[in-house]
Amino acid sequence: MSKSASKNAGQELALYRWQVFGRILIAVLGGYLFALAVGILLTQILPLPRGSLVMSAVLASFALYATAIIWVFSVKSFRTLLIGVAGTLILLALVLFLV
Amino acid sequence: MKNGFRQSMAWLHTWTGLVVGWVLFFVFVTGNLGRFDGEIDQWMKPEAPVQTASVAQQLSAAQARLQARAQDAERWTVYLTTNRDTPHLRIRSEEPPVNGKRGKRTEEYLDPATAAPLEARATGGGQLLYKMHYALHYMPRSVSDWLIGICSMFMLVAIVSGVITHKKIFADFFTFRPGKGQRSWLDLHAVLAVLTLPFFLMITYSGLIFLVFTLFSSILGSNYGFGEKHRQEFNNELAGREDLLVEPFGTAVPLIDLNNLVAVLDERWGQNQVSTVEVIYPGDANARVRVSRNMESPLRSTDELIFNGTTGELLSEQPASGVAPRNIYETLLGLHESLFAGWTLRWLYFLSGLAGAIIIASGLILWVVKRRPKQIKQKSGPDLGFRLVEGLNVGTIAGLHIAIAAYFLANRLLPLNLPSRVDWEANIMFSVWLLALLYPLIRPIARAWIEQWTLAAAAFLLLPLVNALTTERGLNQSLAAGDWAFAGFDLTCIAAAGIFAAIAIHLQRRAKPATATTHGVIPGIAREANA
Amino acid sequence: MLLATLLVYIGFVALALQKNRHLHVLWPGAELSPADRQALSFVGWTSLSLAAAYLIDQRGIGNGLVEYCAILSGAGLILILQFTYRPRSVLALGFLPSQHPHQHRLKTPDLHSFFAADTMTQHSITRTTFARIPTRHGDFHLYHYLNTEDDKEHLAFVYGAVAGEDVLARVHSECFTGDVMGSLRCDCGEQLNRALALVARAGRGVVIYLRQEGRGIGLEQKLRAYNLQDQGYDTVDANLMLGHGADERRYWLAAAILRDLKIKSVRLLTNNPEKIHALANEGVPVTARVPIEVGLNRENQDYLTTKAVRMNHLLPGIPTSIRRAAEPYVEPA
Repeated sequence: MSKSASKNAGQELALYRWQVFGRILIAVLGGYLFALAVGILLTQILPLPRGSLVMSAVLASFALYATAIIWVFSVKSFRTLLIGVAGTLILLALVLFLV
Repeated sequence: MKNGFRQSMAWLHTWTGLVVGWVLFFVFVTGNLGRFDGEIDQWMKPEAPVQTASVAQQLSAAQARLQARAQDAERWTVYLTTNRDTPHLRIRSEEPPVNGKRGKRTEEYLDPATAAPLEARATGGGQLLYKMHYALHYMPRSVSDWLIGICSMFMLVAIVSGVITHKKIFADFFTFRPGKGQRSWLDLHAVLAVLTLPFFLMITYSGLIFLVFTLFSSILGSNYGFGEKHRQEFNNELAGREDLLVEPFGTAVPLIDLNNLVAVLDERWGQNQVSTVEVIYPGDANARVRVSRNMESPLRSTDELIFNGTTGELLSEQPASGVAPRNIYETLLGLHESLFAGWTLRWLYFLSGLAGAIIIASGLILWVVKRRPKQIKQKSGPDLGFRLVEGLNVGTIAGLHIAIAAYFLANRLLPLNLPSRVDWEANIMFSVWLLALLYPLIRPIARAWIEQWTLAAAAFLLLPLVNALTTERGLNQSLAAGDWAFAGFDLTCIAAAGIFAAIAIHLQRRAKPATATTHGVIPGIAREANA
Repeated sequence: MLLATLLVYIGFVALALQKNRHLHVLWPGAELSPADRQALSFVGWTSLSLAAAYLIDQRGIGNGLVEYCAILSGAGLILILQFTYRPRSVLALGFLPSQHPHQHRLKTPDLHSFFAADTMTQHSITRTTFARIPTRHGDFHLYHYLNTEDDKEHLAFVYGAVAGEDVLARVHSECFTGDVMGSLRCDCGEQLNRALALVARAGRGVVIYLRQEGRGIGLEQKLRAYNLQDQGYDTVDANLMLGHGADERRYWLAAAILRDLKIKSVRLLTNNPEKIHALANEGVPVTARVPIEVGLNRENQDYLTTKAVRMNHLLPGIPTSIRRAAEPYVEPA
């Protein structure tokens, strides 16, 4: 094993750790915002009484959150991930506009 | 984080499980004991026999006490001894909300004969132990709700990713291969998880739903506005309880005698069917009395009658079942709390919870077993992180049981007139747990496992003995008298002691040939992994 | 609740027996036809559904489903414990016959009444043809067989007139890497060559070549197991980690081929006592074992040690100092 190879391995490890950290951040925060945005959006667009709407959205929230987290850790390319993040932000903006 | 969907899910499963595993183990063990909180309450108040007063007498006593003590409260709740969950009459008063936050709540147990506080030792009882599983201890609910919420969310993700990772659910459904090291731990982990998957998913998701109005408060807030007031408005609107959607009138009008309602209740539901009586705005002209029936199914909402609190007029009758989203919500919570469950189902709940604890524990142990062969070969010795996990495993998986036994022992051995006795019971429990967590620092891991399991066995064996010596309700008396709360508690302690002792003996036997060569290892397993 | 528990239990037993892993714990070597499997599956799922319907009918949808889940967990747990520690007790509780069927398929009387006999045919082999193959050991004849169980071409390599008693025989399972490529990871190639030489020297005998690659797990899985072995796991653990048995080979084919060649009893070239039992179980008497130990090398030392210690292979050539490092592997039940 040459010196440069082990240096590369070290860099790779550092990169890997940053990627993990980034994904955790996106999964936990982004997933939360996604679930929240979809939840609120549901209460704004579905034709049900207000109470039922809120309860339905609330019941679905953690399923949405879990799905988002699983998705973040399952996509391979970083670009797809960014599209997902951007989509969530657009959704959030829409919700803020609606409420 | 690895290539391939299944690999990345396996990665996610491993790490989400590890990070919150110890908290989840605590939650599962204490929550599981909560299945018998009423019985533990009885055991921890040996002076107070189960009350058998009539509903009317209980209501009179509760009303007298509340009127004397909580005149200014916005809400009273009386928990009647008509179901196994409430061995002693309990009252609760809640002050009006301050700054949108829920008002202060005070709880008290009563003697229905005298309307005075129940004469029994000060103890947190089964209720405190049960409460720890969602509120932890030493912290406000605003913190614990988020902590428990995050841990539960991790668990949900761990369950989903675990199912995806476990590609042979059907092929391996009935397969357990003992005595093969890592493979056995994996089998145990997977087989129990697959078997109890419906329970596991239900308990996790419903646990989260308990916290949803804190964790996702904006969903409610964006539709109703934030704060406790709007939360109640939402609740009443969803349940169709228009009669409760009132503001205090501001004029003082005395509340009716609550026991006058008993005749109506008996006529509608039959005797002893009422579980709680709630009074809103007691002493106000707009007072309302909401009476709830005992649960009969997982649906937590029950039949309700709402009365005018100043005239006693029946305003409306609410059926247990309402709109679909509310029914789903109430069923999830009802399934979680299991108040509807009879004895058979209650024990099955308990066994499922036990399986849950074993799944979590085996997952934590698996993490160690998998990495050990590489770690012990390292020249510099095992990594700090690895040793930390090993230590936390011992201190939690074995040590928590010692701590719980200490909580029960403290109930019997602390002086009865000790100030803040309730706090000291919990302090002792958590001190013992802390010691158990620190213990692996000074002992080799393999020895620490054996010693802590031995200690746990001894502590649980001590409980029935101490009970027999300090009360009149030892195992010989309770068995003879058919006192099943006491006999059940003592017998369960003996059974637990037996299991812990068996684990200790098993580890000791396997340790003998291996101790010479392996340091810091659960005995036996390293030999197989290397073979 | 008792009736529902019973139904769930029976359903689980039926579903479990579909899997060879559980079936063979109760009836070693038994084989199921696809029709048997379908029938078991039918009984299993029907029984489980009936239990659910019964509980919901009796206890209402809420209580019924909760109790159903609880019963599923409980019955499953009992069955797992039984299969693991007291497999024979499954028979007692599951109302299945406890006699040991020597046939190549399972006879379950409770299913017979449901399904016509012609759907439950016994597995069999058919000899297609044979041809002369000259080798450096002498002239052999290669017999080609087809069978009803799998679509593999199983073979017999015959030397001399073999019909009769005490025929020298080797039952060899395919190992592409060892037999063809000369891999040093195992002793297969050397064993095969040695067997051919010994058979030729004896003047008559047979080498049966079964197409069950990698102790029955297939070439792909065997390669994966090799990667695990390179990480330090032994050949038994590697198979277990991939979800296979330590040895998934089945020998009814060998017995059928021996019968087709009119061989009444054999002197078996093997180090594996399991193989002797397996053949005897299939109805071929083994009058003697002829050892077939081949050389140790650096690459196969661990492999052979594992075979000796964990799979009870009779390899006196493995030094005891090496043996001690490994621990015996005991097949469950």
